[in-house]
Amino acid sequence: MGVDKQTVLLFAAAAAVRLFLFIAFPSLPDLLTGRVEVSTPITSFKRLQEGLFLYTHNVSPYDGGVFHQAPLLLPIFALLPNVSTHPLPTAIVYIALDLLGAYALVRTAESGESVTSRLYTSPRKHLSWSSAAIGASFLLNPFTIVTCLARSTSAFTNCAILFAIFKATAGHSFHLVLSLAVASYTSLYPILLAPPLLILCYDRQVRQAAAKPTVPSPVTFAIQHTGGLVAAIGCLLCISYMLTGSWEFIGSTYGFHLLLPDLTPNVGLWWYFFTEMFDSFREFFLAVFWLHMASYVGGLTLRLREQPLFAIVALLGIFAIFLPYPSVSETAVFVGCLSLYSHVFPLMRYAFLSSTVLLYATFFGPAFYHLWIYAGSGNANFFYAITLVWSLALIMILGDSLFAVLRDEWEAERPDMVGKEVRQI
Amino acid sequence: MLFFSILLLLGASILSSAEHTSNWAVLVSTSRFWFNYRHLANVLSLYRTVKRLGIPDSQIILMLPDDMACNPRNVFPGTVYNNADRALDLYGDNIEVDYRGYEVTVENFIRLLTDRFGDDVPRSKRLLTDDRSNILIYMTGHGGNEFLKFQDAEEISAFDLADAFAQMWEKKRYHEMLFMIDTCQANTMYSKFYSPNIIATGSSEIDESSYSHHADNDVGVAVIDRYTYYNLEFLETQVREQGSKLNLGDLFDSYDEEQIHSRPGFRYDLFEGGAEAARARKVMDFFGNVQNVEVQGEADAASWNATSWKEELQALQNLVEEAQKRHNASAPGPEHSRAAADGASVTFRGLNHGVAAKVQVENTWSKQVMGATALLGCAAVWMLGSYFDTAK
Amino acid sequence: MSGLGSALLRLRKDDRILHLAPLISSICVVFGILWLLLLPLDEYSRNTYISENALLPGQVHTYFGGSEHNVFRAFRQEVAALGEVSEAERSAKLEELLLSSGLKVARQRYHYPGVDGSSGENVYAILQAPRGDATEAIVLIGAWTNTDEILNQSGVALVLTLARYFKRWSLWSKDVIFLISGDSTAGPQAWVDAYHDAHDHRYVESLTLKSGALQGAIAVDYPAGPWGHRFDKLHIVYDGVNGQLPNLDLINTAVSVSTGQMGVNVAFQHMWSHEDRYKDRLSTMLRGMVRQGLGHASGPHSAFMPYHVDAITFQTVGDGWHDEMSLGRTLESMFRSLNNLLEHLHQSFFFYLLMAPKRFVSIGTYLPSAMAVAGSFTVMSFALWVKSGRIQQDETESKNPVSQSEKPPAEKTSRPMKIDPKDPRSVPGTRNGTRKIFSPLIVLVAIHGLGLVPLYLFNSLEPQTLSSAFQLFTVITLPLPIIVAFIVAKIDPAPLQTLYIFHSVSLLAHGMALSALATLNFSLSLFVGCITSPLSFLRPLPRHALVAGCALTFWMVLSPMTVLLAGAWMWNAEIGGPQGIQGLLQQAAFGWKVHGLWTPVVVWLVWWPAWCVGGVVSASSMFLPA
Repeated sequence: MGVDKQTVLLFAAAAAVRLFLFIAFPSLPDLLTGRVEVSTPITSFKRLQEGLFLYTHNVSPYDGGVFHQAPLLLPIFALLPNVSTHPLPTAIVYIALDLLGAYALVRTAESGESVTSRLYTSPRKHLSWSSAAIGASFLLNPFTIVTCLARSTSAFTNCAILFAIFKATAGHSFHLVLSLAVASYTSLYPILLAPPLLILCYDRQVRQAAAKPTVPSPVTFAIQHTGGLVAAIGCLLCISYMLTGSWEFIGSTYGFHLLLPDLTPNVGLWWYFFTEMFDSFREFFLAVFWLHMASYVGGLTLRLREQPLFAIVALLGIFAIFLPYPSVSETAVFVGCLSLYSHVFPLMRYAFLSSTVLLYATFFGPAFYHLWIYAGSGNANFFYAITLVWSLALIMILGDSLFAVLRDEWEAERPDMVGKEVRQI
Repeated sequence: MLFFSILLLLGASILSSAEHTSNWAVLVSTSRFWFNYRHLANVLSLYRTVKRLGIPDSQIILMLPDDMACNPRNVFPGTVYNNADRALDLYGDNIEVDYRGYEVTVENFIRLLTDRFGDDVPRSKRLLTDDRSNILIYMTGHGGNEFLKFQDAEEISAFDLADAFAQMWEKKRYHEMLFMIDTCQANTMYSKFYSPNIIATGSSEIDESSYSHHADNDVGVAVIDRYTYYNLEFLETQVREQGSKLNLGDLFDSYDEEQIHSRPGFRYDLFEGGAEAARARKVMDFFGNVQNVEVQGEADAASWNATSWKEELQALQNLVEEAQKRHNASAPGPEHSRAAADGASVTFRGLNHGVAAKVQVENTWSKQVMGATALLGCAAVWMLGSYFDTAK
Repeated sequence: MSGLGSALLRLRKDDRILHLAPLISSICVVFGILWLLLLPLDEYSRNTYISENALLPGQVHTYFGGSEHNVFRAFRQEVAALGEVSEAERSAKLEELLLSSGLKVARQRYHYPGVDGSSGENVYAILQAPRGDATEAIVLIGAWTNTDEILNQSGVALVLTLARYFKRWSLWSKDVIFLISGDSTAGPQAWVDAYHDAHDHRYVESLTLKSGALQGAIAVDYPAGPWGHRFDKLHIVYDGVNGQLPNLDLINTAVSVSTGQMGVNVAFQHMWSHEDRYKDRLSTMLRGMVRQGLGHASGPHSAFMPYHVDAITFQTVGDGWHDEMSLGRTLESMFRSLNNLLEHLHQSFFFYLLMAPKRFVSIGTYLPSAMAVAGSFTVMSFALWVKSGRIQQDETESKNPVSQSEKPPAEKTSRPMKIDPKDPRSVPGTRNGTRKIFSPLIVLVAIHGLGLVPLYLFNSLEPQTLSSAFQLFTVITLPLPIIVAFIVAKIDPAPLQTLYIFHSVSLLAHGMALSALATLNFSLSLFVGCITSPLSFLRPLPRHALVAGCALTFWMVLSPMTVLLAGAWMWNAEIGGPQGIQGLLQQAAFGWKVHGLWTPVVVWLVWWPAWCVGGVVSASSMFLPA
């Protein structure tokens, strides 16, 4: 297995912290499930309970217009006892998900992919953090803990994404395809991670191939894996069809992501925009927003061909900012994966500033939400302003880390520029 | 012969200089809520005035967006007063409100003016004017620079109003029009008119507010606006009977800026003959319902003879018979309605599609077994995958 | 744009930033305080005005008079007779009186455990508007005892009279609820909580009778005895729980009706004489800020604020010639104005500081002062962060003196630099390598977590033990930072850098908490910010143990515990509050349990940890090697 004592200690501490919070503050999970920064209409645990109730009572779970999560979650949660009387098993499931995700992240860190990819080796590889520290940046991250406590179903997506990354760095195609299929099945957006993940897996397989003939050709590799992905997703969709008895779940789940019918406030940028949208422009702007988010995939994958893992990390940051229903869980997984690149942190120019802005936005958000909804003395503009600051902070972090990685690459070819101030033009 | 008679009528209309044959009034209040009591009092005062001077209810369109008389805050339920002495209850028991509550919208107002209605709108809600009708249009509420607020939710702009009047002129829906408006910055509202034969007057200039006159301390609100108050004073004290010969010039000259606390404005340039002709029009031409009777004079006696009259009558009768035949031929049969009833039953397949499903707690074991199967299946596939991956 | 960015980044390397930052920080603090002192001037404050057109204050005749006076006197005698009977009898009698006026009546019991004097019974009656639709309601409150624990005889009598009087009018568009609460603080809170179904079922009974959404509430405090007492002014109390204030329009209406229509003068914030001079305005504003900062309930109206129901209390003060009929007419006019409303008051300000009955400043004008004070911490935090990076370089140099002579200036060489794993200076990008932030962060989180201990303790201990618990706590926590400083100095490999990072992150969190707090409770944020502003100037100075000693003494004076003791002493001396720290802590516990007061949270989880960190930083001077 390859996990060392430090990592085991970390996992135990993280599980202990989460268990403690679950048990010592029994009203905290419900409080967090109601917070808009943590629970969105597509990940809320309350909605999952609603869907579960309908499912166990012989009614289509998508009938109420409340439940918008993947159908396969329902039989899994049907196995667990009623959460209001026995909250512990559900808590343990979510803690396990967090730990699994962290395990995948730790193994990814150990593979050294972030410092040494097939085509590039960073001159700073010795500065990278230990895998326990990288795991800690995900497990002990307050955003992750809050997501776990709120029992948001994005924990499933996060775990699947982390496993997909891990399997890609290990070169295990089958598992990669399965993880990515599960991630895309639960939340639509991880499908956009397919190109860099496939490149990563291909690189690893090339490295692992003992001799030339066994090296797969890129085209066949791509076709095989894309086909496998399509088949896996297709299987999952068929199983869902059999579970719910019709194809209507596609409209209620993926259609919901694409068409944004629910404009509940969240930490993203879409909801406010679309409250003011005239109906005739709605479809146009929906298409523009989705295309905008998808357009980063091509550019980042091509430019960061030599470090596909960073392309994935950057895309996770893009998703945390530009998803239709983002929450702090996407930020959690982004920050966790970003620590894989800790060796370029010294090259970041304003890390302290962007972390400060992020921290400020985290505190001001609930304050302004309170002023808007409960005190009645503010309005939606207050809260939206803070979400803009939050997005700005994430963009700053993303941009700065991208700069650091590119500069690292550049210094590998121009070692004389090490330590010199550069001006970006 | 028909053609000849038409020519005759045309000639007569050209010869008779600008006489109107009907009077209509459109009285619009655009604000709701209790503290805008005075706007409804304004309109109701004008309503009483034009009724007193002879315009019948069938020729008055009254638009009241809120019900002040039955508002729970009204100390005197069922009444609306425009004066603190409460001598006259404007609401009374004989008023006919044509557009009430939320029916008073910009769309309905413009449709009313231009008569763009479906066939189902009743006559009481339509402005059935022709090219010989004089119309008094009175509007009051909250306004601004080239706009008037309707019901706190929408606005009508001066351009929209001007276009509506232009359409009225094109469709020959008025002979002459008197447009009065009592709001803040009222004069801007008529600044964009471009169709002929409109006399316009407003209560205040641009960047000027119009003020209320006084409040009733038991009703608790202001009960009348200044501009309307002084208009009413003139009309009540000076225009006492239907034969009054006072003209608009007298009315306009009675405005005292010191008392109105704003500068009323007038617009005569659209009127044929300019300010002189406009001011010479009688007040009763717009506020009352008096028509001059036209006697067919000797001048036309030569071309008028019994034969042509009989022929015209015959032509008319033919027209009527033709129309009746056409009507009988095209009446649809009663079979159409039956066809729609078939095909109503739609069969539903699949789980719970559109049919109300009975909520019952099914044996949850089946769900749990499915869940366990799903989990085990996933685990099995994962194991299979690891076999494939590590076998490479 | 990029030129500006890189210029800014070059600035970061400049040493002058480190000398400039304390200056900027102190300027911010001074600016914040001075700005506050400028507000009462005419150029910065504004006259009040009615924003909501629907209110129409003072435009109705009030007819409360004549025979109603006799009815009032009768009710007052009844109320006086109820002064000695048991609670059950009293409630029964009040219920009977209200029923005889033709209203629907109900009762509610409440009992907050472990808190002195917070159990009782509320009696309330609902006048259903004959022509209204019962979707909204306004409340008239007469608490049985006022905030000074005196029987509110005339107040309750007035409520009963007005109940009978209002029943005769048919012009109510909203239901009117008449509440006679058991006391002035816990009773209304229990009632409002139960009205909105947000109450704790173990302590507070649910309401059997309810009406529509509450739009406004007015409380009357008129403790005159059975023979009456003519008053001089009306004292309008408007502070709510946690510093939340009602919409300014409500206060403006009250002032307009009292002074304009009724000719009764008003007073705010216990300012009995106010001549609209700078001194009076400043005094009113500061007193208002103190009340807002403390956030306690100052009357029956305070409990309504968190539910977005605008509420005020009329208190009669002084000796004059206005009598209960003036007060009754004032209330009648106020209720007629509230009756005119169509929606919640929202046009006017929710955040303001009143300086005189007709002068105020709004949040846009006064917020810069709190933000400046909070910003001073952030500025220092940045400077300390930058300095902590420089520190490491010095520290590693002092540990590897060999490399001194071979130090190649990083910017001037033309040789390709090889990155040597052992030499942190050879790592490019910064002069210093990466900072170790894990341990400072953990210690900071631990200290903030420790703040939960006094918060829990002082809110749950028995009142008698509070004083000794406080003393014990002070004795334990004073040496705590010194111990932590000792441990850090001895164990940490790079203690100076760790301390700088520690201080930087603590100041950052402190500034952030204060700026967020400023939007919710401006006064508390400003007060805590001013008191803790010296903390940002503390430094670990390795060679000056004497200076460190002085700093530590100063630091002890500024502790939350000292301030609390001083506050308790002043409260007792000036206003005659309960003795010592026990009374203060009891009130805080009461506020926490009954009203959900946040001030203890701010004191123990924001102020106290920041103060501890300041202590660690100053004390470390004694232990760091020279």
